[in-house]
Amino acid sequence: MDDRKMIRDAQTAVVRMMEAYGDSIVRLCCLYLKDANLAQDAAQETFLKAFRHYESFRGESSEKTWLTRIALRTCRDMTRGAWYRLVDRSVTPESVSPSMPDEKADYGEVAEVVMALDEKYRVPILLYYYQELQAKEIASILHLPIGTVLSRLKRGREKIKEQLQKGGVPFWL
Amino acid sequence: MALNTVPVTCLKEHIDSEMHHIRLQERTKQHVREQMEGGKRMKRKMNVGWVLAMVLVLLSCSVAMGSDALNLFREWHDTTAEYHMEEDDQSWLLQLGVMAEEAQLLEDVVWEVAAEDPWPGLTVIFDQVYFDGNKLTIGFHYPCTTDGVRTNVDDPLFDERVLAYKSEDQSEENIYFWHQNKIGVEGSWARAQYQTWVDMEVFGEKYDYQYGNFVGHEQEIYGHLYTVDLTQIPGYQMGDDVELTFVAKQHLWYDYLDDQGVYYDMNVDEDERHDTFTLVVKPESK
Repeated sequence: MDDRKMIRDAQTAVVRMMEAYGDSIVRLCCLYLKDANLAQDAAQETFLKAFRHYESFRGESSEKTWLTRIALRTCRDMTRGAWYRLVDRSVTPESVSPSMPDEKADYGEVAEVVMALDEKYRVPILLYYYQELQAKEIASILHLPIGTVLSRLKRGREKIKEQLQKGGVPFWL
Repeated sequence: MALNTVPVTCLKEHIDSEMHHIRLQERTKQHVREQMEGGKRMKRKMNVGWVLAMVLVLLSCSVAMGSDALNLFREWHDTTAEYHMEEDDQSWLLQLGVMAEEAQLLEDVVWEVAAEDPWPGLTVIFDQVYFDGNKLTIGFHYPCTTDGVRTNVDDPLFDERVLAYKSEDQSEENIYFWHQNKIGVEGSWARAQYQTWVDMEVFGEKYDYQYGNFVGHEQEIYGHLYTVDLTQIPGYQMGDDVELTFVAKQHLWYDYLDDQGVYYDMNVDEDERHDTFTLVVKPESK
């Protein structure tokens, strides 16, 4: 297969994936990074990486799982950057000027609770309940034993429940 | 939206509902399309001429500088090791630029992570340091036999292995020690695992276990690389000492199936053991 055809195929596939999974990926990034604008950057980088590495995608996992894996790694790399830590993430939506064109002012109650979880609980919860991946797939993505994934899901659920109930929101498992 | 109850099985619907306004923006899609149209190649093909030229340059440099130019001496004691880099070596590396990354510069340093009941011992061998003044790459491996079984475990019930996992899309590989003790009883089993992995810290920046930089597992080498772009670290100036702290983490997890077939997961996330090791890379002239 010549290079041009490979590139054309990859472009077509990525455009299709952006339509199919774009919103889901950008929300996942937002829930990970807690910043809607950064999430757009992370999603953009995710799809560009998918384009660059499309040739290596062998279809052994679903496209969605593959993209999720790339997105998580991209978010993780972004949070490791020194500049990321300089951003004050303690700013509440209420304290942000209404004139600021920032999407984060309206994440919603459940999303906020999920975002507040420690990363080790947040990521499995997002992958399982939001990306709807199987525990086995999550174990593969996070390189954890499946027992650890199940355990973190359980604890994550408990923490969500606890936080929502604190806020007066009934929660049942 | 008003929330009366939030069943966890509906978490996705709730989050989607709450975040319905957060979408992949058209301008983001447009950026992706533009960059894809920019003609970026997905895979850089190796140019044979370029590779040959690089080999020739490397060979001529090796002859010109002599093998001493790559010799670095080391001192290490307890859990600290220091590497001294000759000034000439450093400038030579800077001249070579990216090719310096291809050079193996250091003698092996062995870190014996002490055994501490119930944690098993661990040997980590630092065998590669690539440093061009800006970018530092540290490679290490765990010694084991080709099939991944370590040879220093006598207890026949204790099955200690290094497992190499490949992700489903084969894009990354993960390894960790898996110490498994199986007690087989008809209709039931119990097992305990002690996973070990090594994280790295440099100038206060933490580098968690890297999954994507696997060196390979030919013969007796299971290992991986950490790469640090020092230019991204505030305050770093070329020529500064680089102090690296490695943390071996061991984590216990066990589970069992009782004779009624009920599965119990006894994972203990908090039960981790850490052991640290410091490695300093510094120019000899300092």
